[in-house]
Amino acid sequence: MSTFSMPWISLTIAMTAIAGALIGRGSSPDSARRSAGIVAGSATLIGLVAAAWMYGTGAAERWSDPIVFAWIGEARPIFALDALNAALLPFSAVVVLAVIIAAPRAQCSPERVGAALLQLAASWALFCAFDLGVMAIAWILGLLPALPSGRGAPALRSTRRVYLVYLLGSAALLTLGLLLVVVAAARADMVAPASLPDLEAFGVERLHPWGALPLILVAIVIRKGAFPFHSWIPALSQQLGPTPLALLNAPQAGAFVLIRVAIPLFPGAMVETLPIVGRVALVAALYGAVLGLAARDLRRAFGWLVVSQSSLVLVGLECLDVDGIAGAMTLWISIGLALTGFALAIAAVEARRGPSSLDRLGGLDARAPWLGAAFVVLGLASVGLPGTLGFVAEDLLVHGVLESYPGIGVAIVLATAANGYNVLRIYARTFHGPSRAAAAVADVLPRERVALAGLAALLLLFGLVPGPVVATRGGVAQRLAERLAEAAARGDAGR
Amino acid sequence: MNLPSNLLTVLSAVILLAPLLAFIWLGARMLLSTPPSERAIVRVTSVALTVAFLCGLGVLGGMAVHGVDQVLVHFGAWFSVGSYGFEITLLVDRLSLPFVLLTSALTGLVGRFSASYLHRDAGFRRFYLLLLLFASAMLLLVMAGSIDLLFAGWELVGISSALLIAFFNRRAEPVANGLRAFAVYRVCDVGLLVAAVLIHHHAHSAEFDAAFDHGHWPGGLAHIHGGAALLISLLLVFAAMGKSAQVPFGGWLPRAMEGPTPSSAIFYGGLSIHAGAYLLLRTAPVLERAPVAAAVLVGIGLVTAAYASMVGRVQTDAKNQLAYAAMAQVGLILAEIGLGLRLLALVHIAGHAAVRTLQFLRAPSLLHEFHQMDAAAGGHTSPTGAYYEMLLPARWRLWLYSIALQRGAFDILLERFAVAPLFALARGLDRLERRFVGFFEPAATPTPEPIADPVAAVVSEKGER
Repeated sequence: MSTFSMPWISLTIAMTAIAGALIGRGSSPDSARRSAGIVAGSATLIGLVAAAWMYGTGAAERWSDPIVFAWIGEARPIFALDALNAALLPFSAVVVLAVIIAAPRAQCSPERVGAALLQLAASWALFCAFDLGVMAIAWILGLLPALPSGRGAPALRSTRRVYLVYLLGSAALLTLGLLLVVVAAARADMVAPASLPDLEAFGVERLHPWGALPLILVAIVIRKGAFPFHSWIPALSQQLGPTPLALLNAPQAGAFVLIRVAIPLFPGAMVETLPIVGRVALVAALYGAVLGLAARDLRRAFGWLVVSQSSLVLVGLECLDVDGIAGAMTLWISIGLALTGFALAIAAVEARRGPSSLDRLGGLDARAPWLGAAFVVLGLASVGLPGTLGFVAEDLLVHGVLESYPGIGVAIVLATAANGYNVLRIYARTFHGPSRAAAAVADVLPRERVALAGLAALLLLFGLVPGPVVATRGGVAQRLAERLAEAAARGDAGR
Repeated sequence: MNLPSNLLTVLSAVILLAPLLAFIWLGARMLLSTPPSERAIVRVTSVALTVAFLCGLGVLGGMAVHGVDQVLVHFGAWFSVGSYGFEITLLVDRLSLPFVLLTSALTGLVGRFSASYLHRDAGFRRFYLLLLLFASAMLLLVMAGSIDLLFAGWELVGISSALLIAFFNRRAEPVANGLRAFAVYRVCDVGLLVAAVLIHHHAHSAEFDAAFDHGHWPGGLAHIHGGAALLISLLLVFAAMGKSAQVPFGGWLPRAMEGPTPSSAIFYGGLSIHAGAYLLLRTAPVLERAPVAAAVLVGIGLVTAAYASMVGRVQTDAKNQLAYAAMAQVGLILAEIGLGLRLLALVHIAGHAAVRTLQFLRAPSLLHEFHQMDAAAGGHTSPTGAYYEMLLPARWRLWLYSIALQRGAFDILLERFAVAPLFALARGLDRLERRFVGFFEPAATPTPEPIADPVAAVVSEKGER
């Protein structure tokens, strides 16, 4: 069997999921962390090799995993690697690896560590799936590990309900939307009605699958936390803490399905609809930035930062301009890394100081200067600190959007400005001011240092040498913009 | 490329790289290994800034000898997508060179001064780290060949400024004042970022050399006209008002005096406060196309000058008096730029920066020096009571005195009509959000769940390791 005939993607996803399930049943937190670290580290290496092979050799536009499957119609490869997902594999693995390494001991039970690996497997499955059924399952599986427990404090039960209504609601809507597409394709006698490449080649849009696109778009908007479906993000952050939210947010599953499914299958309708999605996301960006000003605790401030900055990814995708789309996709990577690092820094503060109310914090800089430096650098990197990848992403995004929609461009700049202020505000309230720290508070532990410094180094490295990230994202953006331009031209010609 | 040209290019690059490498060295040592000694930090800072200054002199000499008006250093595209590319180009010309020399000389001198001033201070290393970050950012700002690159330097100057205002971070006031300055910077930076994109759009280039051609600074013509020129100019003026503390956004400047005196000297006497003026001088060809914006700039500058000299007279401490004096001079400089007197403005900036930095550095020992002078002279050396305001009618004087004491009430007005409504809106929406999430479980109270014994958890983990 040659290297290329091995089912690398299926194997990695399956092994990660199995490892997650096994580790989740263990009893020792330390050995769970070690084992999960090895699994996530291996996934990172495999992802890096896959990305290097995909972009470095330019060997193929798409490499299909040999395992084929059909739940309806003719069998097709379940997973494949292409220019869109190849960069996302090592990215999502690094995020999970950092969380496994640095999460505080109290948040690192075997169940939680196992859940992080299951989330990684689900993210990889979503990124690599070319079958609509598998994609829906991956979307659902990606949500289950973070589902809050039904036992515990009333506030936690409330959050569980919020989670069920919003996120599992989004899963139901997406599944129904994709099912409507498959049914319409099956009725049109397609041989593989669940296969994404077949549906795209067939041009499923002309079948007008009733209600499919609105359902898919609402699911995306909910999962992205765009206005008015954003409330689950600060609630989740406050009850579960910033790290689970960062894990849930980093893959940007909503934006991914938009690019992978909605635009290729419904290009004509998306030309008309993307501006609406973008406007909804823009409201969330501004709303999150304003609400961040009122946040009185670290967790809620982080939740609003996630709402605001993550929405900018969708805003960038609406501009139909290569710069803006590339900016949005670069922002996807940069905020994924930066917000995860910021979440870990907040978790480290909470592990040392307990309640995360800003009124009770302050003066931590005297005891934990290293943590303070990581906190401010990673926080500012999430809002476009010059020298980091965030600056590159925001520069591209603002240029692209301002060229097409000046008003929206100004709104993005205002939202980012307010978020920057919020980050510095919570940094100052946590680390500066009169010292309220207990004498026993320690600076970062070596494992925390490795994860925080690693994420900061990645952001700085890609900030100074953004070529690899921007080139890979730019290539995808170029194809996306061309596809949308073609659809727009066809629409104009049709009218 | 011939040898002199090559040499000028290398020297120009070294000007920027020297403090940047020193910053990276100090940051890496502080985070990754044993922090260096005070002596090593001062030595490295002095060497880096002396190298930058000497390279600046070298470039000046080379340009004078070879009759070169400007040196452009192309590092190539930082990144590019589609038709958009972010070029890294340094521009050294008759405008940037004086700023390069001022930045490296004043920062170097302040670095040397601070070795004694902050000796054994808990934040000694942090101060030098931020000073080197500021020097790198300021040099990037003044040597940027494009408005995009200038923005990167501009942002870093703002961050280093806010962190240095909050330098004495054990007390609440400096921290709050640093945040206030940062908030004003962020709001006004919106103007610069939007202007940068509009310049790119209308001039088809973000590079100054391409966007404003037909002669080097102080010449140059912008290919932007009409409404676009007016809009871009107003946005640039707005950006400059924040960084240069002009009315009504200048309230942060006296509050910034909470920072250590050496940083007050270099930021608000010498360099940072002139960044707005530099921006307007660099983009003067656009301003020239928009007489209305130029008139607005003159108005703002003159009003600020009058306001600051009035308010400065009622201040009771030396640093605040100097802050308002600096604000007044920068107001006059902006008015000169609005009137098209670019060279005069540049000379004014150089003189003002040098004098004001010296005054700030001497401020802590001012009383002592006055006492020494008076003792040596055998009485008061300077007459008091003969001020220009005595020429005004008594009723006016009282009225103006009251306004001056309240610092024009600009801060109060901004607080009441801009900041307070925004925060009230945020709090109201936050209450609604909490109530909405509460619907899912009426008994729920969404407050953070305290961790049982977090300190013990961390300590036990350290112990286990």
